[in-house]
Amino acid sequence: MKLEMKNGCFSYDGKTNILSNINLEIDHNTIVSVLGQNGVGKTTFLKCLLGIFKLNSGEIYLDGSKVDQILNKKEVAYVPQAGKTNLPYRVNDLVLMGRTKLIPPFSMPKKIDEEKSKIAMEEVGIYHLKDRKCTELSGGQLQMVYLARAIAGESQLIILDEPEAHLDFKNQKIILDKILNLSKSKGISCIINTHSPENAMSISDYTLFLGKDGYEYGLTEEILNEENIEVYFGMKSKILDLKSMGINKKTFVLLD
Amino acid sequence: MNKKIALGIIILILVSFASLFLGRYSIEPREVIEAFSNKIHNVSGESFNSAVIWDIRIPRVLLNILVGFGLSVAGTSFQGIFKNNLVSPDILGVSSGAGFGAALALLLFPGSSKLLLIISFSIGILSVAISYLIAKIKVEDSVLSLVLSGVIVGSFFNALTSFIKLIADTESTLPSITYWLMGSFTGASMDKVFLASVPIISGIVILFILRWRINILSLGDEEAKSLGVNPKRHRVLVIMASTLITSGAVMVSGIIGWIGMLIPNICREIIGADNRYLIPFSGIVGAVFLVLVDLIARSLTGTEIPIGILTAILGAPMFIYTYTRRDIK
Repeated sequence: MKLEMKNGCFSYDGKTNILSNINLEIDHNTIVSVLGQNGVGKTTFLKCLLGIFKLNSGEIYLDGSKVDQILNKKEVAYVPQAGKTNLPYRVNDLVLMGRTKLIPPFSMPKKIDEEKSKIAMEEVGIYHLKDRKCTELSGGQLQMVYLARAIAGESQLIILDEPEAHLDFKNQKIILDKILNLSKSKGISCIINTHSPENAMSISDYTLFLGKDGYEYGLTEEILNEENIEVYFGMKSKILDLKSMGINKKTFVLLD
Repeated sequence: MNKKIALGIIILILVSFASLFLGRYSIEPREVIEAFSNKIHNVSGESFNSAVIWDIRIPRVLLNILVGFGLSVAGTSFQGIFKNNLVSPDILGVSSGAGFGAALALLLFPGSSKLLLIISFSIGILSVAISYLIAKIKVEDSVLSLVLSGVIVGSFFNALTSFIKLIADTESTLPSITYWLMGSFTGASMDKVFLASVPIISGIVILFILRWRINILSLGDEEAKSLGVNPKRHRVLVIMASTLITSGAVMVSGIIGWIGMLIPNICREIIGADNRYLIPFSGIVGAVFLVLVDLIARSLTGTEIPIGILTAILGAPMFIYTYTRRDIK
């Protein structure tokens, strides 16, 4: 699975460019984080990538072929942000809906679809919730349901819009760990909009910084650093490597 | 789930059979069975009871079932695609259009019942087509535009109908228009059953096939697309199928409200929101409901009570009960 955007440009009003000539390539088994300030265009970028918005110029290629949109392709799944929902469906039914791209146009889900949904729910750890109504779930549980739904569809690219947004930091860790595990064990690529440079550091291979006047895309190791945080967020920060303390992690601190 | 559906079917069969021998003119159950077996064995010699059963009651009960099943399935589907449990199949103006068609036919061609069927059916379909075309002009927000157009088109045809009532002959035409608009199964015949079953059964079959995808449409357009369902195309199919059903129902039985809105809400409490089960279950419960209500309509008093009145009188308290029962302590 290879997804490419070439010379992608997009503007809402024809005057201010939100996306200016973006070129990037995402291979299989890759996790990409998208970082940027509020309003800079992270969600716009995702929507252009998916094809919900049409690029003003530039193209999107999936596995080498030019495509208008990838939102409805079976290689791609979308995990929305889990707000409070008024959907009265049971968890099992919602996860089952992730199989739709694989079900022929006038058919119903079959045994195999129920099977795959069950496996997806078990992998994410929510099978015990399968008969609960989605309206009764917490934000974290609902986010897991959306993730299970994306996995049930057996897609190779999962796009997540701020999955940790409404979660407390324990649930944030749980969902990020799950994304990392699933990606590494199944070779699924993920593109994640996130507000947290720390989360980006902990799981992503590549990072995309989006700014008003430009962007930068590269290996997280190389480009997620204090200079770029200053360029794209206007904030001074320090990234500390805790190896010296025997902890194999990096942490991110904002300075006044 | 399947147990509840099976139970529903059994109740429907029992209630339908009971409806054959109950009524202002009572017939023993034994005689109903006799009438059936006579027909099967081709024994001639029509008794009066036999005529009542075959020419009046059976077509009437069949029509009850067709209309009750169809309107409930249409209502459930609309509630799914419009993402709102208060929606009824009338929301795009089909009943107002068909009502106007019937009023027009009664005014201009009072003798012809065939023309009434054709004109009311056609204008019912036409009114939804107009709503849809108006809504298409708006690029964004398809669901809201559809609802708005439907309300506008519905009001427009209601106004035209009022105008017809104004100029109609007050001795004969006006009463027949008024009575027709209140909904009734008098004059049920096997001809009407065959005629109505074409659009109604076609619509039901289409909605049955689409019921899984209606679940997905109810999540919203963007999410539906992300799950591989083309929302505009499927919405059009659901609207076409529901409109076929509702026009078919209105042309033979007048305007019967509440069923399309009420029955899905009651059934959702019993069987859940998954349309794979909700749509068939609503159909069955709707059919049972209409058979029972029509039984009351024709048995309670000497003259028949128009069924639209009964569904409204019974529907309102039933809806209040369904809506509030969770919070009643």
